[in-house]
Amino acid sequence: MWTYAGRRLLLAIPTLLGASIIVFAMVHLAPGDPIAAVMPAESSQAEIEATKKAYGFDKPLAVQYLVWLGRVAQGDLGRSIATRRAVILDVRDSLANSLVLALSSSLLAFGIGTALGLLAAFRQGRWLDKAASAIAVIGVSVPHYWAGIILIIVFSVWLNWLPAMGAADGGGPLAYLRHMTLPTVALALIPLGVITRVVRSAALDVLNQEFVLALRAKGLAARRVFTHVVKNSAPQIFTVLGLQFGFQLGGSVLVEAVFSWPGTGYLLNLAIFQRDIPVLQGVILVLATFFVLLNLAVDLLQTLVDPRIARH
Amino acid sequence: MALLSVRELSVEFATRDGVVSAVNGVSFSLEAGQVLALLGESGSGKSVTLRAILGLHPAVRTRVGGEVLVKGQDVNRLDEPSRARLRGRIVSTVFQEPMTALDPVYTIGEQIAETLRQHRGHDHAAARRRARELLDLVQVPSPDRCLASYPHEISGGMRQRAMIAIALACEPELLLADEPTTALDVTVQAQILWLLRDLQKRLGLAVIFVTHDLGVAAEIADEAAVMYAGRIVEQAPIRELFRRPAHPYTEGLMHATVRRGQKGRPLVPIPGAPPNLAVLPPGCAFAPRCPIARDPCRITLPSFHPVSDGHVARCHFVTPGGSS
Repeated sequence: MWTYAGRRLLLAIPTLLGASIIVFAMVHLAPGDPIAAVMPAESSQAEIEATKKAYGFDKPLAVQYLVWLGRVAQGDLGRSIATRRAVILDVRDSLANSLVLALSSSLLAFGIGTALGLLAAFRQGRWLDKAASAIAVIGVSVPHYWAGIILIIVFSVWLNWLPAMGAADGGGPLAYLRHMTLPTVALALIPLGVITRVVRSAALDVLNQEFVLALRAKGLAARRVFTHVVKNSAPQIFTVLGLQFGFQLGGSVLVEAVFSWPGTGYLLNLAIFQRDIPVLQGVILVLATFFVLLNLAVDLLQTLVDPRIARH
Repeated sequence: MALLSVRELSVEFATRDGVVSAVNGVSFSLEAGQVLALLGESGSGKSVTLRAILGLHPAVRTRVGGEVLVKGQDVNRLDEPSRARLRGRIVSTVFQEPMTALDPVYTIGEQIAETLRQHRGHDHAAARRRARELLDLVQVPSPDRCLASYPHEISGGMRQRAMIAIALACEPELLLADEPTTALDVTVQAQILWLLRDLQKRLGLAVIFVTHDLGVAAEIADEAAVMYAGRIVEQAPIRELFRRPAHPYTEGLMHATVRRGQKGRPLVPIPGAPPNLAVLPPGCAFAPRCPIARDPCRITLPSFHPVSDGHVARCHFVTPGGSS
């Protein structure tokens, strides 16, 4: 178990370095000159060169990368070109907001999705199964930004129950909760559908195995058989939960834009339009790191449930 | 009262290709301590019959008819909790492939113990003690290591021994063995067969032994029933069956099996293939493959004709005291 954990941890390092190279290179491959975005149009060539030098853009790429990586390792993600604020501060605040949203929507989707998926599997072919499948298909098919707009129209405009925008800065915890309700629901739709379907098929795979028949043949109560099926489906369920949580963190750009929720997606959106490269790099790098660590955690969790994974 | 009495058992599955009659009017009974071999090729309805004895067929798209009396209680009329009380406590099962019939994410010890907790209400320590006893009973060489092992960590023979230990945990009176040696290596097959025979004698178990292997049946059974297309076509004490097979299908099976003194003589396969169970013919289901079939065979289903004392065959051409 521990050697396996250590090995997986070591394997995460090259993955992270790879992510950092892609993040670094991506910005240099993308069209558009960041210097042009910050300098007044009438600046002289000398002024442009001086700015380039100040940001280190005049050095070879490999040197730029190492310098950048060295700073990143110390927690210095540079300064925003647009606001002059330290990127790490912007990333920290927005990450906190996104984490809250990712957690709440994931909890909502995991809870309902797992329950629906298991119910559907145990009632295969009955109306409950069909209803669960319909919900799952709707969940994955409806674009979440569109669902967000519909939610705003219904609950904010028509019913006037919940706020439509922002995170209620300084409004206290209750206002924060009210503000996060609609984006949470909108964000939960896709993972809800995906999780319902994956859990259903994972549980069905297990239910069709002979040992389930053997468990019933030795007289185990239905409740105990259910526990066996859940424990056997758990590795597959954990995998999809981990992946979906990762997507929730990084994939909420559109929903955060619709609700003006000050998270990483919103920040990313802003940075893209302002060509704010340090911010862009910082956000993507932090999100990628999160994703890798999350997968690592899921892998380790699986070894706790399924003895076949680690013992080989 | 017989330990098990099956009367006119029928099992039908609704499939996309129509209603499949997997078991069709099967009747037999079994006394305590008696061993019955259910013989027949794949798809003849042996395993489906075993599942019906435990009431394990799902309610959807399946129709089970007839009676299955276990100690006088009709399994088909019991509710699910009452059935669960019979399973593992009075009637236990050993499956063909222990690798797939054991839960891969629970240790052998846990799987034995949970059966004891379910039926006997044993606490943790008592269940563990009993589990160790059981592994001794089925002759597992290092029981403590086996208890802590997951199914994938032990050999096929050990897995089948563990499966038998689970089946015997609550001292059942009837053991249903569904081809328990088929999936094993030949040397291990013999060991498991001897173990089962030994346990049967020592514990006075009644056993239904499903197999397609006549040699295995001869080793363990007192009585044999030959199944074809969901029906019992011949039933006799095992020695009588070998000495005087009365049904052409039984004869065909014997010619197709390696026997003592086989060397130098070719095996004779039965021509044709088993019938489609969704469109069974009105007459004898074996008629299309039968060397002695006449017109009546294709029209009327033969009933059981007595061959000798305790020996019956579903064939129009059976004469008492002689082969067809």
